[in-house]
Amino acid sequence: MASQSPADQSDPKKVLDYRNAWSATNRLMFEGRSWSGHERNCCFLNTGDGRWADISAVSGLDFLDDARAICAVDWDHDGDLDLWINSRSAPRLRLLRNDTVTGNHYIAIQLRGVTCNRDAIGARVTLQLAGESSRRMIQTLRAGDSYLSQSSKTMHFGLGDAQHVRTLEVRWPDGKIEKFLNVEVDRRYRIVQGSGRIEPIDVITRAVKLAPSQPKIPPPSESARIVLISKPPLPAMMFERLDGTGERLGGPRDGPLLVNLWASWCRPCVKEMHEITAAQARIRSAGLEIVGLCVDRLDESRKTSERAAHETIRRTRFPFIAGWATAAAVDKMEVVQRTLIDVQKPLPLPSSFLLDRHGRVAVIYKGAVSIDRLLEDVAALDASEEETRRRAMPFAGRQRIRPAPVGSLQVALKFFEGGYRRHAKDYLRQLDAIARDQRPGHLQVQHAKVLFFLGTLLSEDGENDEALRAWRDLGRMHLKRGELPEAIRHLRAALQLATGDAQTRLDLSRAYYALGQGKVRQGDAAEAVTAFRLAVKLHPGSIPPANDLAWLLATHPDAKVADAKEAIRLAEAVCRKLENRDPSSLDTLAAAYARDGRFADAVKTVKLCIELLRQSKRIESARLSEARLKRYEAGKPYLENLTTTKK
Amino acid sequence: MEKNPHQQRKQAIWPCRVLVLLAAALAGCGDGERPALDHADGDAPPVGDARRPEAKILDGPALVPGHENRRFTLRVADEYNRVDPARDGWQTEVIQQLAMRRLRDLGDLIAHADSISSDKLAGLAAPEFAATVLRPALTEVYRDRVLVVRRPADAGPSSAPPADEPDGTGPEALARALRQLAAPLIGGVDVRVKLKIVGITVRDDVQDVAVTRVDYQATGRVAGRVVQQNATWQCRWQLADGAPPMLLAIAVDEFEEIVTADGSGPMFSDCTESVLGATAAYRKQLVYDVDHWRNRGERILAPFITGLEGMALGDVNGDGLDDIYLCQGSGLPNRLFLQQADGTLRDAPATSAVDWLDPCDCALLVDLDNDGDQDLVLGAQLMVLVHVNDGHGRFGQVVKISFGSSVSSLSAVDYDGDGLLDLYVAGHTANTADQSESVLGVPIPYQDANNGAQNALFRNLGKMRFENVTQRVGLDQNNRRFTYAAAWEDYDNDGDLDLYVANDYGRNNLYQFDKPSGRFRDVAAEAGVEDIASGMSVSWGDYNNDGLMDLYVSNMFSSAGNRITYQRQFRQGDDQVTLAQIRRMARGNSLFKNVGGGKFLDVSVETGVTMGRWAWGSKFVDLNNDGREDIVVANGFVTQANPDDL
Repeated sequence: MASQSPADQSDPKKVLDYRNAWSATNRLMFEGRSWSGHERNCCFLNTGDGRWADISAVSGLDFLDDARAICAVDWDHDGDLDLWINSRSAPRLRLLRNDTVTGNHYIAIQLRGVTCNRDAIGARVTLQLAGESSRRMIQTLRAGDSYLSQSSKTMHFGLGDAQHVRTLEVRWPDGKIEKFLNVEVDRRYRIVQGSGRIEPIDVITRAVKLAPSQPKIPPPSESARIVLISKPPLPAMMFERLDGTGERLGGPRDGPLLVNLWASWCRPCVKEMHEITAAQARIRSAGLEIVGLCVDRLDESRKTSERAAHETIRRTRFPFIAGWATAAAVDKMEVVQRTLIDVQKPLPLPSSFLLDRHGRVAVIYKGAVSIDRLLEDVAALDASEEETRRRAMPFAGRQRIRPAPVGSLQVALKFFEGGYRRHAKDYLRQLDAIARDQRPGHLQVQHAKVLFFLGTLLSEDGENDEALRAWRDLGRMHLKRGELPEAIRHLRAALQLATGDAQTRLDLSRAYYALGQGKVRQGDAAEAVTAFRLAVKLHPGSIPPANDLAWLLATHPDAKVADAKEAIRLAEAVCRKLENRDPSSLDTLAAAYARDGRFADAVKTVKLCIELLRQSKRIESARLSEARLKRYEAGKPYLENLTTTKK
Repeated sequence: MEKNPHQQRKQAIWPCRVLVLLAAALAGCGDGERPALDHADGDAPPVGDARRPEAKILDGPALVPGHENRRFTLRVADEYNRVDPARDGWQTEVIQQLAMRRLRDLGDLIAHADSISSDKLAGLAAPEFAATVLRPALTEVYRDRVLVVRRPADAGPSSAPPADEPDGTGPEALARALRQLAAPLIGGVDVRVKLKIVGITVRDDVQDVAVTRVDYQATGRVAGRVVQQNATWQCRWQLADGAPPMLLAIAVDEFEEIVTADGSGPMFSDCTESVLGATAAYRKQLVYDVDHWRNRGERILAPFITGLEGMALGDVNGDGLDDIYLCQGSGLPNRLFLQQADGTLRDAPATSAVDWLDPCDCALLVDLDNDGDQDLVLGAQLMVLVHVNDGHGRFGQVVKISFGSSVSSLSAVDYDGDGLLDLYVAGHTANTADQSESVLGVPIPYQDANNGAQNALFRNLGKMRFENVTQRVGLDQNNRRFTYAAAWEDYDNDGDLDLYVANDYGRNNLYQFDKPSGRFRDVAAEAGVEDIASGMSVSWGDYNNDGLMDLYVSNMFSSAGNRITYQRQFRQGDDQVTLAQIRRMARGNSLFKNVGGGKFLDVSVETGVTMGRWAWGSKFVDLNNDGREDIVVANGFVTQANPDDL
């Protein structure tokens, strides 16, 4: 990585290469490569001559663990410091007891602040030893140091052969200083700020009996059950029944389905099949169907005969559907599990995917699954999202963050990244279809991403009709949610694929109209005019944008915004289209005439408007128009009192 | 598709990450189809021959055949292949791989020293291999009741018997040297020998000879004592095309031998099960490594691969005994363990209400409201959670402090002396989409990255209210680094606390506090403690008892880095300063001696404390109560089943 690091971020290509280098290294790690692993902890002894001896092995601390934090504490109160060290390896926490018999002395001190902070964090303790060395020692009480570590607040001083401490000075965090003389060694003390006393801590009656032992670590197991909150659909795939008929998997079904991978030569697989046979009635009554896919054919090295699979089915009397797994089918299952599961390991045998009736993978079983467990999971397929989240956690606990179920989209990305472009598109189509059946909510955010990605791939491949649909639907989804900039972006992209598409033009026109209305509310007339103009241009038949635009151009106080001639043109067109039967557009036209100084036309037009309003009993609107009439009669145009300057 | 250790990304960045990939899609990065999936679904691959004998039944775990090596990583295929330096055109790396194979053989021989014979070395030592002494005459440099340290007798009278005079050439000479070296290990149990190439030189004019610097470490238990040998060798190799390299000479640069007192085993013993064995959390959670749990939950809910979680000691229930709060990765509940009078631990009851499943890396137990009990501070994603102790070890009330990234480090201090503990909160990787490519962020430039997260100082206003005063107190200087650790100390003995911050990918900060003005100033450069490297950990301690606090900082020791960065082809065209910075990145841990006057001396190399490997926590601890700080280093990044190291 270092060899590729750019000096700054100015060259995007260099930055991308560099990021990819990081990404590649990370991937190798995720696939199981060690990265600076198998390293033994180190330990250095201060030999007092300005040098250190590497005593890593002699210390007994040189575990191969991927160790992280170190906390020091005299855990067993025997007068020396023991160590807690945690790691990502098993066991993830160790107590290393200090077994040295040195004959050296120590004192331990607990401080309690009174005028300073009560923990006395930041206090400096200075010891002057008696004896020939008359050494001075200092320590500061800290909360948090080393890496991710907080050691004991009991301060521990090794004293060598010193028989007592000549002076012990505490400088409290607020600067106050206390001194104690001739302190006895090999004791634990408490000092309360300002008390002037150093008090031995009462020895708690403790029978600490710790015995060293080699931690017993269970052997690694491939078996795992992973409950998914993302529930990615099983990619559509074909398989061949043992009797030779072709069949399709993936997509909605009447009930849940277990897709199981097995081999004739895999004893745990055969055992699992026997168990399934024995529990046939329970499985059927739970509504579960099973497809057992045999991987024998994929086995190029073993050259297993086809007979073996038939023989296994016969011997186990496997009562559900049995077929041949293809390389493509297994690859698709691999893509799903390696996207949803952090550990990048191939599926063991047996493995099973439990699908709900929508064809979504709800649980992945690596290794055999017990019938009880399986049926429990089947019963929970329709559980609430909350319950599914709870079941997806191996242990109980409180949770603040609810990670989004993003796994499905990532399966599509994985196909794409692997170069399986066609599969990526197919999978996105599957996701799209499922999302259309879902209720709105968080999933809609995922659906939007699906549509965007799908449209992108399709348009790149020249499949413009479908791309147009994807992006148009995406734009409409945003439009419905009132997310106008997004709606406009996607609808415009869609329109570029087919400039004449009437539906897209109408949707985009609506989006601009809504945008313009928003700008009017914000008082941003110039922007509103631009948006309304686009709305009109995209869909000249639409009346509301034309009317609103004309009104704005007719009534805006700012001469730079106003345009009476265009307002008249627009309003006349609208009125013509509505056969002069719509009061609102007549009102607009009247305002436009007035702005142009054609007050006679304005008076005539607004009178027609008032009449229509009265007929339809819209008294309030009529009153407003009457006020305008008075202005026109007085030779004054009507100006809308917009807060134009405010942005 | 990786997540970040600073796990806010799992939550905050995933959507962005998707957009990044979409952007990549638009840029056409995914061109090129791979055939495997595209043969028509349902097409049967070649079918096994029905007449062949049936395969053996397998009992143990098996994998779906033919799918072990599927990768699905086309986008970064080029980079993927470049990760192996040997494939990336580094001739010296090819040589080191070949030499390393020979050294492993050599190590095996040393570990079984009683059976060393010259015929076993025939292919290893060239006929002209020069006689050498691998265990020089030694003199005692340190002794206490626990152990003795001996080093070569270059000064003072030798207490060790004179070594055999070197003699002869070729395999016989090497056999003699190895027997003499391994003599203290003969008859030992648990003998381990490790050799590692940490430097390599090939001269342009003598292309068939390479010189490697080799770290040698051997240990074993011999007659009730633990023996440890440490050495550095210069090995000269004869190179030949197509044949393994052969040793021409070994010269010993440094040598050290440590032996424990009679009947005295290792200084520390593992009492984990004795203390934790009774807890369900240990039996069901802690005996399994992070990788186990990564395979048992959906990726967005599972613990993160790097396992960067820490712990805090403190007495949460006021019984006078330290308890432990342990952070676990996402999806595993953080644990509070209560110490019993007999030294064992019990799981705290659920009423403690601190069993967070969310990713949080670090914790502190401190009394933030001066009410006499220990409150719990948790560094989480985009926030700090302050849990108020009700005095009985229950933490129902939680106060949230917003933070700009995932919290990578916490430390508490009363910097302004108002009697209330304040919190310094640090982050490593910024919470932005471009950083999500890697679990360790994407630092630019690598050796002096300034695109990391921003750290913050939160002043305690009382009543569990906190105010971000970072800017006001001047801690916003040089504050875009990838911070892993911070620790407070009065290094200049002026009565107030200063702050050292260890940053990954570049320079560290020493913020000197000036109490009258209430402001900090970054004086790392002038104090000589910038330590441009991969800072992971900070420990303060007065190791030479001169009344001035010295500084030990964890970094990464990288054998590969030490080898590659000194080759001429490495970053051709870079200036010497940049090169030196990048080389320094791989040196290892740093020890800075405080010499007073606000200055430190980098004494790492001459004192012999750089070798911390990929170090995380390191700490000054007086292990033997002699009043001198020793050093413990916790290290290792990610160990997995595949031993090939990246």
